Order: sequence, then C-alpha cells, then structure tokens
Amino acid sequence: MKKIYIILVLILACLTIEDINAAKVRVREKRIEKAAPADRFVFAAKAGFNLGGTAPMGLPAEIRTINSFKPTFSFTISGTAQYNFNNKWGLQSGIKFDIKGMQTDTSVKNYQLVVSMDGSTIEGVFTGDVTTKVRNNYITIPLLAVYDISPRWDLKFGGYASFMVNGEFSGTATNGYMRDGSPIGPRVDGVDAVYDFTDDMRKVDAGVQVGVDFIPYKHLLISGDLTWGCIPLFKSDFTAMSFNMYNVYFNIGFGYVF
Amino acid sequence: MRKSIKQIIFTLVLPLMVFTSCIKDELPNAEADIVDVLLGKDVIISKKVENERITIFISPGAYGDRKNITDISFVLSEGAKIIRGNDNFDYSTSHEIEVISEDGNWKKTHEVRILDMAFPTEYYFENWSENRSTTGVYDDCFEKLMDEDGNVSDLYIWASGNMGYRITGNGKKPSDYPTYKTLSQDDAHNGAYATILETRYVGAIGQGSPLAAGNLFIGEFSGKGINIMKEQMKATRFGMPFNKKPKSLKVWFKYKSGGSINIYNADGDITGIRTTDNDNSGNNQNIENKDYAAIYAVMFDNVKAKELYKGKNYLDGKTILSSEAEVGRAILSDNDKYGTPTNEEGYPNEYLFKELPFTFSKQIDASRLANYEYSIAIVFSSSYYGAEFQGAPGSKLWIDDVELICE
Repeated sequence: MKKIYIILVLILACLTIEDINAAKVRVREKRIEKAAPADRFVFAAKAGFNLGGTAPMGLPAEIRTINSFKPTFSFTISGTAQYNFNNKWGLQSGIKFDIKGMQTDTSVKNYQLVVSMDGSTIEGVFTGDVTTKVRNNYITIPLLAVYDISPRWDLKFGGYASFMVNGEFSGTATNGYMRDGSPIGPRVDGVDAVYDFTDDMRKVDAGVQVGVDFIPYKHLLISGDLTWGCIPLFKSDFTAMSFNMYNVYFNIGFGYVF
Repeated sequence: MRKSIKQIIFTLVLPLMVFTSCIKDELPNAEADIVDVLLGKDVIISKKVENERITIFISPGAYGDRKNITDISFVLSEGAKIIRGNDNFDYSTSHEIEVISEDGNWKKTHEVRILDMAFPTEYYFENWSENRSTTGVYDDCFEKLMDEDGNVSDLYIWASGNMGYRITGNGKKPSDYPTYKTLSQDDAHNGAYATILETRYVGAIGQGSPLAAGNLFIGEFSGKGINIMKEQMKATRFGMPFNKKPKSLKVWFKYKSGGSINIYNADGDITGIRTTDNDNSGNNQNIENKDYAAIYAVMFDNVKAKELYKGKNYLDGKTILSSEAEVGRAILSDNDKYGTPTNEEGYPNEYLFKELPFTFSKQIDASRLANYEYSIAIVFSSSYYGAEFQGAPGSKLWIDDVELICE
C-alpha cells in the first residue's frame, strides 16, 4: 500500500507543475500536426513495477480467509514505440520484460490440492493454511490504441501477449489435515507439506490492457496500466487445484520519451 | 484536468476492488464420517473406529443377542446425516450405516460391528478383503468369529501400515504394498494363504520414512491426531484387551533378510549400517549386521498404559518393547530370525515352527485380567528396526498358522 501512496504523491506533484510546462507541450502538439510521417513516431524507454495478483476470478468458497497478501517487488523494463495517426489517435506497441509475482497466506477448507509431503505425493482435499508464492518472468508485447485526451494525458486500451521465460508457482500446506483422494478418504492429520505447480503453468498469457500515459515534462513519462489475463495460468489438464487463476496486475512505469 | 485525475484514480482503484472481492459464505461440509459410536450402557471394552469400518467389543451378554441395540448413537461429521441403516437396531451381524455429507455430494458406507468381547487365539490368515479407495487398493486380513448363536462375524483385529503406504502413492496393486497375502497356495504353510511382510524402499523424502517395513499386528493403524508420514511410530497402536494369561506363541514362518541394516537420511540415501543391537533379547550377536525379522507378543497393563501415555491405553512403535506397562513377552531371539532355509535359487522354501514361551516380568492380577485390564499385542515385522526406518529393502517374512497358547 505504501508504494501506491508514494506514486499518488508523485503524480500529484507532477500535476502542480502542469502550468509551467503547458506551453512547451502545446508546441509539441503543433509539431505533430505538421510533422512528416517519420516524425510521427514517439519512442520511450520505461522502468516500473507490477502490483497485483495471480488469482481466481472471484474468491472460491474454499478460501475462508486471506491472512496476508504481499505484492512482491516485481519490476518491469520496457521499450515502446507509438505511431500517431493524427493529434488524437495513435497506436502503441513495444517489448517489456515483465515480472509478475505475489505471496499470499490463506486459510482454506476442503481445498483440492496435490501436495508433496515427506517425499510422497498426496492428492486430496486439504483444510488448513495454504501459502502461495508466485514469481513469473515474462516477455510481453502490448498492442494499444492511444487516445489523446489532453495535451499531457493519453488514454490507452488494447491487449497484450506474454511469453514466460521462467517462473515459479509453489507454496505450503500446513496446520491442517488432508483427506486422501476425496473428502471421504482416510484422514491425514498434522499436514506439513509443500506443493510446486511450476511445471503446470502455461508458457503464454494474453489479456486486455487499459492505461494512461502522463507526460509532465517533454521527456518524462509516467504510465499506469492495468493488465488483465484472459488465459488461465494453468494448463487445461491441470487438476491439482479446482479453480482457474489469472494474472491481474497494475503496472506503474516511469519513462524517458525520446 | 479534473476529469483526468478522476480517471487516473479510477484506474488505480480498480485493481484493488478486484482483489478485495468478498469472502464467500462457507461451503457446507463435504465429509461423511462416523466420528464415534456411543452406547447407552457403559459396556464398551474396546473400540476401533476406522475410515469405513467400526468394531466395538462389549461385555459379553450386555446387550443380549444384540438384535435390538436401540440406545446406540453416532457422532457424525459436521452437518452429515445417516441415510441408511438407522431404521433397524439389529447388530447381531455386521450393520451397514450410510452417511451423506452436509453438501450432499459425498456418501460413505460404514460397516459397524458390535461384538461380544471374544478374542480368537488361533490365526490362519485365510480371510482377506480388499481395502479400496480412489488412491489404491491393498489387502486386509481378518478373522472370523462365531458367537453362541452361530452368527459369524468378521473380526478386524489385525492392522498394518498399508494405509500409510497407500497415501505415499507407491502401491499399484496389493502385492506392491508392504503387507499382503501370498500369491500362490504353494507359498502358504497351510490352507490357501499366508501373510507376507516385505520391507519396501519408499524413496527420497523430507522428514518421513524412506523405508516401509511390512508389519502385521493386533491393534490399529491410525493417522488420527498425528502426521502419519512423519510420526509413523505413533500410528501403530499396539494391543487389544485380553482376558487370558498367555503361555506361549506358536508360529510358522520363513524369512529372507534383504541385507544389512541400512540407516537412511531424509533424502533417502544410505548413510550407514546399524552395528548395535538392542532388542533386549540377550542375544546381541548380530550376524554381519543383518536385517532380521521381528516376531513377538507383548502383554501389558492397559490401565497403566493409560496413566503413562495421557489416556492412550495402547503401546505404540516407540514404547512397544520398552514400556513400564509391560508385564510379559514372548520373542523370537535365536538365529533363525536372520533367515530360514532356502532352495538353490536362494528362495526360502521351508516354513520353520517356533514356540516362543512367555516370560513375565510382573505379576498378573487374576481379577483385573478377567476385567480386561490387560492387553495383548502380537507383532510381526520384516525389519526389526523398521519403525525407526532402518532395515533392508527386500527383507521378506512369511507368517502362517499362529496360535496363542493360554493357561
């Protein structure tokens, strides 16, 4: 949460110097109108971070409480190219090195899970505490329509495709009991187990993306983008968890406009 | 400009809204257990409540012919209901009770047996059933007991660690498990079957056991209240109440040692060989540190055990041969425990007979004996130190035609 406040303060600080730079921006606007096609390209390099979760859409009833949620530090580096058709509309794409991660600690009831306990794989339903650690590295290509709503503000919407370089999806199941196979199977108490579904994740993700670009100075760019995955994180034959999970992350980026 | 600020705040707030989506109402329970069985009269001598099988021994005659036990009550999983078997109270034979879970998705049929306390003393290992679940199937052996009215009941007094092994997922068919019935009649001493106990290598591990010794014992194997994978020694609950003073244990067996007594670390690697022996038999000359068979019976004071072990009236893998509650034992301690005669291929082809005498370390009180305040545990294992995860994979013990001779 702290991070969000810092960002908000930064953005507000930038807004206050809006008037000073307004004149310069207007110059830029005019330049676009008169520019030759080659000059209609705007390039930027950005660094930022992702904040969000790899989560089910709507919490399944098996999850009883969320004891903690930690958005882990997930940085991003990207290069973007934008082509402006006119002074209102443009098209933006690029390439982004994208880390999406989080850590959660939840209490669950009758949660379908395959765990590895003391070297053995146990498939069944678990009641107790489950922690999850996600840290996935993607190469992401966004494709966005850009609408210039004001001299400093651009609204973006479109989609993205991500390719996983490497990743991790793992966790623990503790302080509870497992029923072997199904809720009527033999009961195993005192479960202290780990699970690792890393190899069950899909290598691709794609989804929708909406965001804004804010250009407080001629070369400074601040962006905020919500990326919402539409492809389930796990392969379709994956049955160790009973619900689908999706990447839903908010990216805050700071960039240099060339 | 204002509009823009609104937009950016909206964009920031949106994902937070997504993640704070409400915790849903708790789902109804999916479990369908009989957790406990209670009787109106205080006549229960012993009770074995397993996942799908419940055996209760009562004082003989306390409920007459047991055809009308109306004051029975069942403790079920939260919200579960009985849908079959609760409309008649005839417990003179096995009684099926079907329970449906609160959510209605799961049903489980439990075999409930209420038996006049009677304990067979001859065991031929001829009766076997398949214990099936979604994760595997293994052999369970049982005895048959005929009451005065000629009703025959299946008596599940024997237990093994097969349930724990099934959870590890290593067993594909019953004969992959550590405890199973003989596959051919030629391999039995008498009758159609004998029991085979075989030490299995489980694999690399966290903190559990890389080794599963075949075992068969009077008592119960239960994961209740413990981590069955980590605390296997506590899962073996040895002994059942007994009202006779034993004189000796007769047994037919054959044995092949799998090699030296390996000591494993948590990764399943062999870190050494056990060279010290403390089986308290007085015969501590272990031949080449070879893995050997455990064949013994222990009589103990179950009231004292209850005092010693916080209400547990049984001995477990840690205490079975070292408890103050013990009053006497019979144990195989001669060199035949290392192996029996083999044919040219090295296969043990000849059953040996042993009669192991009981030696008593404490006096037995006759009135307490009649009152079932002592318990008997007969224990067989393919690796003597199997409970400590030490032994040799491949050690194999055949047991047949056992008899407990009593005064």
